[in-house]
Amino acid sequence: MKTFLASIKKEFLVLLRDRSGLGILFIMPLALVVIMALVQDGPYKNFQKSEYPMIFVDNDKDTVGAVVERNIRDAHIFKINTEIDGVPATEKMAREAVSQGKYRAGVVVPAGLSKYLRRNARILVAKTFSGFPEAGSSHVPKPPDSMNVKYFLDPLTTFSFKNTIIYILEKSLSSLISQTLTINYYKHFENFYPVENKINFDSCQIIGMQEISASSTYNADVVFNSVQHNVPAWTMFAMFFIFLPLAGSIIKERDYGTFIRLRFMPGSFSTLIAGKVFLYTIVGCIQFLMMLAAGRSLLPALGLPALIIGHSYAAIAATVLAASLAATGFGVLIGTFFSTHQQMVTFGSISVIILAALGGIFVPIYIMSKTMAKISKYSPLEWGLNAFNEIFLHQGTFINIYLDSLKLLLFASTAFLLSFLYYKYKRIH
Amino acid sequence: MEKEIIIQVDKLSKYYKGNSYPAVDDVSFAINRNEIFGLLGPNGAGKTTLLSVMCGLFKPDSGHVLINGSILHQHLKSLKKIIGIVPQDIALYPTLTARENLIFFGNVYGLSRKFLDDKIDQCLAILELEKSKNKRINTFSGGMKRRINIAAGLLHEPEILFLDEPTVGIDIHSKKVIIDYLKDINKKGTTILYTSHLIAEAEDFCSYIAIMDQGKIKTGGKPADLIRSYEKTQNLEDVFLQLTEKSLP
Repeated sequence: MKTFLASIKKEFLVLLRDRSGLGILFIMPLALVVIMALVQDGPYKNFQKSEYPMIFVDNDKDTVGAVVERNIRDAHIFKINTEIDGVPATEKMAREAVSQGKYRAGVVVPAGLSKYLRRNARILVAKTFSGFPEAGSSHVPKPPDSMNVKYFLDPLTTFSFKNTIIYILEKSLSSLISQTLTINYYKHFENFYPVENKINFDSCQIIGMQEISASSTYNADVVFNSVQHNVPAWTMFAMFFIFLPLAGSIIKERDYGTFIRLRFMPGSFSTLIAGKVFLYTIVGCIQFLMMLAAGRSLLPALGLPALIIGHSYAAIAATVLAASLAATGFGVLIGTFFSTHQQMVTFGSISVIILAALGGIFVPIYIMSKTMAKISKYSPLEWGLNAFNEIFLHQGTFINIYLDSLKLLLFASTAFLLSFLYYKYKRIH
Repeated sequence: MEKEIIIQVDKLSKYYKGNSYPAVDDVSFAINRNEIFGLLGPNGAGKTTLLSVMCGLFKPDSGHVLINGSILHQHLKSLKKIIGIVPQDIALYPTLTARENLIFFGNVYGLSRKFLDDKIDQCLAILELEKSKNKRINTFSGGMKRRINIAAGLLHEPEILFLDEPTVGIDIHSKKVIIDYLKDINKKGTTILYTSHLIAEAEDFCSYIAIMDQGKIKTGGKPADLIRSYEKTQNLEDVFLQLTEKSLP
């Protein structure tokens, strides 16, 4: 026990005086989480409430123009502008402004579109009841180009963004067509039958939809935003960068000759390594607490949403401990296998970056291709990130994360075992 | 009065992987209790390898080492407690202070707090490092580092002290302090095995000298006896050159 405590104290003092090591462990992840959360805040809003600037030209100034504008506003995705530099926008001005990137999209409702809709609806209804087969033909004439609602997009616009605009316009136009036709049918029947109750078709909703909870524990307030992604993601990344000071300390001990001295001494050598593992596991836990504090306080102060962490503190503790042990295991393995600092830094850094990329640290796994998403399941960073997402986003408990935590512990155990076997092999040869 | 043997090396050989020739080749000798045994030889003679096997760092490929009558590799754990090591490298933590280094190594030896504090103060005083005890090792001169390196191997008052080139590359003052200290602890009962290629220092310091080359012990005896037993030799350096046919550094 004395050897173990002495090793922890020594490691603590060495780390405390290693400024670059402390920077890698605490400053770098904090900077990463702040910068990445701020940078990715915009892209993440693609999936949530966001207000992209849109130029809206209403030449119709009637029902169609009003309904389209209302539906765009109700989508809460666009900030509608009708003027450019204080001047009411025209189609030409709008297209130019969008092509210059001043607006993400433009929509133009042509003049007289409402009148065109009403007139054609009347004609169609009249044809339906005219009694002449050729007049009642199901063929509906295609509107001329001048009567189309036009939209144009910034070339940088994503596919999902374009689909959203198409959906809003289609929804607006189809509801207007059906309502106008219904009203005209209504009027037609009024000529023959007395109508006792006039129905307001505008507010008529025969069938509808409703969002319900996916599970009893689901918290509708939790939204997957850049903070919810970046804080746990970069926490995992930072934890695995523990390898750098940890493996560095193992290689330095070999270089200094202290390992040799310690091997001559009566204390168990594995106890001394256990001291390193213990200290760096605690460092991993401190990193998590620091990142948690950043997510709860620092990021909201910078205008980002606060991190929501769920309610299962036991599950969080289990995940943090397992992830920390996996990271220290990785560090011990790298430090044992590589004989020079340069080899260790190069291999270790690239490995962590690859594991991070596969593990969904840089981009969420659901954006990845199917093949990459399958491969990502083998990254320890993914196990940790997945467990954090389960707890934070899905209000998961220990039941939901135990498998990922076990995988992390298995990874740690394998790393320690391989390190031990390699150390033994090197001693013999 | 017959002298008591504390270390017995018996037909010891050690090969390194990939080498067809042994680093230590069928070596046998004995070290008496309270002796200062000098193991001299040119670079690559096998001194450090032999020392490493005698300390238990490597297992021999053949032969064995007996310490106090017990086979070293069978009683390694208990025998390590009576052995002190001073490696050739400055095996210290450069960002820790002298005192922090000594506390750490003392704790690994399992020493009590009181004993360790007293021992550290005593070592630092004798090695003239009291004023620097709270300074970091990376601010020390080469000689100061060597002195702390020795202190770290002596904290637990070992019966046997292995020293691998303890005075290499240091100033005269530090060298004198170290040699005086080692003579002092030898007087108090510590047996010393010392490797060096500094012949003049060994001639003055050691009570018994063995000259090693190409993995073998070429000769051994008291320094004066060795000089007398070879023709045309005035000092140990002449003996060394005759036996190893190599110039000294």
